[in-house]
Amino acid sequence: MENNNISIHRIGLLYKFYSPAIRLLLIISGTVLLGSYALSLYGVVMSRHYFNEGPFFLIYSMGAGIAGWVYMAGPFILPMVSNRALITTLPASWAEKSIFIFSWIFVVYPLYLAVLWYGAVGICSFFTDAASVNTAMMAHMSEVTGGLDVRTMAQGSRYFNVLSNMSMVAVATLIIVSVRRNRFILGVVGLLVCSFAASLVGIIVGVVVLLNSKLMEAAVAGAATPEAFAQNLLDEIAGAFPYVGIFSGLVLIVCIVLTVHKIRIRQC
Amino acid sequence: MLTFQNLSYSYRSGYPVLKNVNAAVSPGICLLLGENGAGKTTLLGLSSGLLRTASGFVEFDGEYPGDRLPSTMSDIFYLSDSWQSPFKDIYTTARFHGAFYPNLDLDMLASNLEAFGLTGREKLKSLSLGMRRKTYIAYALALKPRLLSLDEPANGLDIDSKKELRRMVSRCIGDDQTVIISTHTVADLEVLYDTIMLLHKGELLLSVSTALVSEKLGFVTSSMPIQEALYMETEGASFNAIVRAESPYGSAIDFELLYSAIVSGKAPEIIEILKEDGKQ
Repeated sequence: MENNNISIHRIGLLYKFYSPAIRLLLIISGTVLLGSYALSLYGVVMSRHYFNEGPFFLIYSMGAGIAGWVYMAGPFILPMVSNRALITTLPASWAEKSIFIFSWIFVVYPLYLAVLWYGAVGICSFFTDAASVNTAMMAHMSEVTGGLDVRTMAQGSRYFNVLSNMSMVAVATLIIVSVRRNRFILGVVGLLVCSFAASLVGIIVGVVVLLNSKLMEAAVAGAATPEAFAQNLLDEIAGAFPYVGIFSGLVLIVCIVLTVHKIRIRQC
Repeated sequence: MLTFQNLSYSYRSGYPVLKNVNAAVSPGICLLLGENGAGKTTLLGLSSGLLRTASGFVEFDGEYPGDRLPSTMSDIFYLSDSWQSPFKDIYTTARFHGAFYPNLDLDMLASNLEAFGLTGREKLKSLSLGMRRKTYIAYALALKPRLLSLDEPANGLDIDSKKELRRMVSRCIGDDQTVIISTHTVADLEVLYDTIMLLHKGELLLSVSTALVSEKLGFVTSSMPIQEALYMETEGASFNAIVRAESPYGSAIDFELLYSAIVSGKAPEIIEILKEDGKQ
């Protein structure tokens, strides 16, 4: 008789069960990620070459944005197996299924993308000093803006982005395990809605920060140079990231709890 | 032993699909009969852990399928009429899905497929409904679960395949296995049934062994009306009747006639006769 304690073997079997979907996702996402890296690299190199003339910053941003979206594809291995009855009756406990899903979307899949990304960075660093595209772009922006220090902002943004992306992935996962039909499409719709909501939250936070700060008065009074104004603005926004991070973290936790509950009831 | 105790079930709409079902099903092959909407699929879903009981319980060898413990679920398989493998062929299914079922017998799978004229390497998506059904039946039997539920297994099968299915079920099912077959075409496997459960509008009207039915009742077809008939139907120029077994008639169980007799409510004495030794 099978043991009902949490079994690494059965979690492994779940990975095996989903392996055709996993393999397909890894191929697609790997290709897209490397493509987006190439796009970002091209954007950075050309921005530096033409000193930010032309749409090269946008090309860089597009590449970086696509890379972020690739991460969000993780939960979509679940609806690739469309027969919910089959998954519900699969001989693995809800805890094993939860561990499988969360280890995949939060550990294994991001790790795979990180290995690919940093692998590409490592290889390209033999050919260009812009291989680390984000760092190179930050340095370039600082140069372009006459010494504007964007590191604090970028660092905060990175942590915020990680949490924000994780919470969006958690929302998509919750939708996918909750709905009975059109799980793939509704998961994508959920992601888009979340992305819109995250942008909205960002705008609201930005406006609140701006209104609460003394920057506008200082600028109007001519007490601040444009460079100092921009720097202060960036620092103010960076200071708001922890609050946005807390919000994303809360969304993440709530989604994880609800997803586990759904898996426990329906086990998908 | 599969036990249903005070089992009731309603879907979200609140419509009661099963009403206070009580039965014990011993290892063997059980025919589950009932009209469309009688609650057969729901009963199979509850037996297989696909659905969870809201009132009463389902127990299989001391465990509750609704708990979906790996120990229970690895012993249960439900082949619904909409069951579909997400994998390209049945051997890939066996590799990825069958890995959860410790009793999977690949030799049995190969011989079952061969008996149906299949290799197992056919792409499932390109197979016809009947061929796919045969593939899944071959697979379900090879999983060798202790509780196997088959919903309309002969659906879409040609005459030869139905014969082969009968032989296959007879060959593959072990003494410790319980198989519940829900079907409207009872003739396909009729010689194999050990027990019969009859559902009507969510109520279990009958749950008896076929041995008891044979012992207590006779099924007769005649060109003349039969005086001793407990229940009789006309079909063209002939009369199909159920009589007491001690009558000088008798033949193999006519499940459809028995179903009609019980469901029509015109022959309550049939249930009384089957109850006489308390086995109902």
